[in-house]
Amino acid sequence: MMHLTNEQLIDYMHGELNPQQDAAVFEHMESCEACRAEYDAELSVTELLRAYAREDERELPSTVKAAIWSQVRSARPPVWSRITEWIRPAVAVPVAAAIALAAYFGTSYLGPQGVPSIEAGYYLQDHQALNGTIPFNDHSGTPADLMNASPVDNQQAAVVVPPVEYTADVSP
Amino acid sequence: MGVPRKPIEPPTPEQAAFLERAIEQYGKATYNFAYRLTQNEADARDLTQEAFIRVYRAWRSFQPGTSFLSWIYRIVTNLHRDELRRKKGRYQEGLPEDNAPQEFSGQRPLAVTPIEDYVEGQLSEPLSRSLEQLSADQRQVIVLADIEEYSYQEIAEIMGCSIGTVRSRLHRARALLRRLLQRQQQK
Repeated sequence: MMHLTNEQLIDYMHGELNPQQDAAVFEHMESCEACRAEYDAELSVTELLRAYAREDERELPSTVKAAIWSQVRSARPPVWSRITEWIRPAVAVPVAAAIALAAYFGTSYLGPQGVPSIEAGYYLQDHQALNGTIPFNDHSGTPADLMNASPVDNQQAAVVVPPVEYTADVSP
Repeated sequence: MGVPRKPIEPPTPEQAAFLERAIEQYGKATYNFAYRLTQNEADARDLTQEAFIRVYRAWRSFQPGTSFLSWIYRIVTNLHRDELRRKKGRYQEGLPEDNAPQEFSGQRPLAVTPIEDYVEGQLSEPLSRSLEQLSADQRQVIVLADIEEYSYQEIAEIMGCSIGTVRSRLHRARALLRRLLQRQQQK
């Protein structure tokens, strides 16, 4: 008589056989002492593991909890951190200098050469002012909008490669 | 680990409440799961912390009605795998000796009884030493199937593999574990 495999016994123990297989294993073990003994051996491994897990159960260390909360609490809003970044002298000074230069070149140096240069000056000035005072004008979407955006939209513009015609050029 | 790669944002009140509840209800289970996978406290602490930070960040993606524990176990499992890859070399799909096919059809010797000799209270030592010798995948599948009592389907989702892989991994892991335990017993 064929014995059951350990694989069958393990799947049986975990309730992972289909009803027919399950019934067959059950029936076989009714009449086969060797397989019953092997099943008990498999079962005792599981019981051992569970007993070990119960015996060795640990509490969540309070340090872990504290570390999670301190990491969360120390987080700063991204908007605020970007504002403070703009207020920093390392950024603010060059920005101010750029505005001053733009104003200078825009009005007195480039000015006499004609209208377009004045416009350029205004443009620079305006641009710098805009960047200096409203640094987040690129921040149009909320995170929710970003999450709803389908990546497929960005893939619509697939590059269409025209079929290449290979012409045999076998001139001597 | 420990230091997140992306900056995290401060909590909204609901988000804080979500995290609070998650730690309260599942912190202990998560830590124990992490400990079983890593077999050491320092790594388990790091894994648990990082897993809850991930939960915190992605809290909106949690679907009420689904199992939170499965979700965080999946996170822990992935983090653990990444961590092992980083300490490369230690991560193996299976120990070499584990690959021998098992043949039990036909004549079977009467089962060598395993572990009856282990008395409650003394089993931590030999068992944890045996578990340490399994590969990470083998430990994961044993912990999920035999300690946490998940179905193969659920384990497949947590570990991100097929049910067939879960099945064969569990068979091999258990066969190897039994051999290791018997070896310990003989000492």
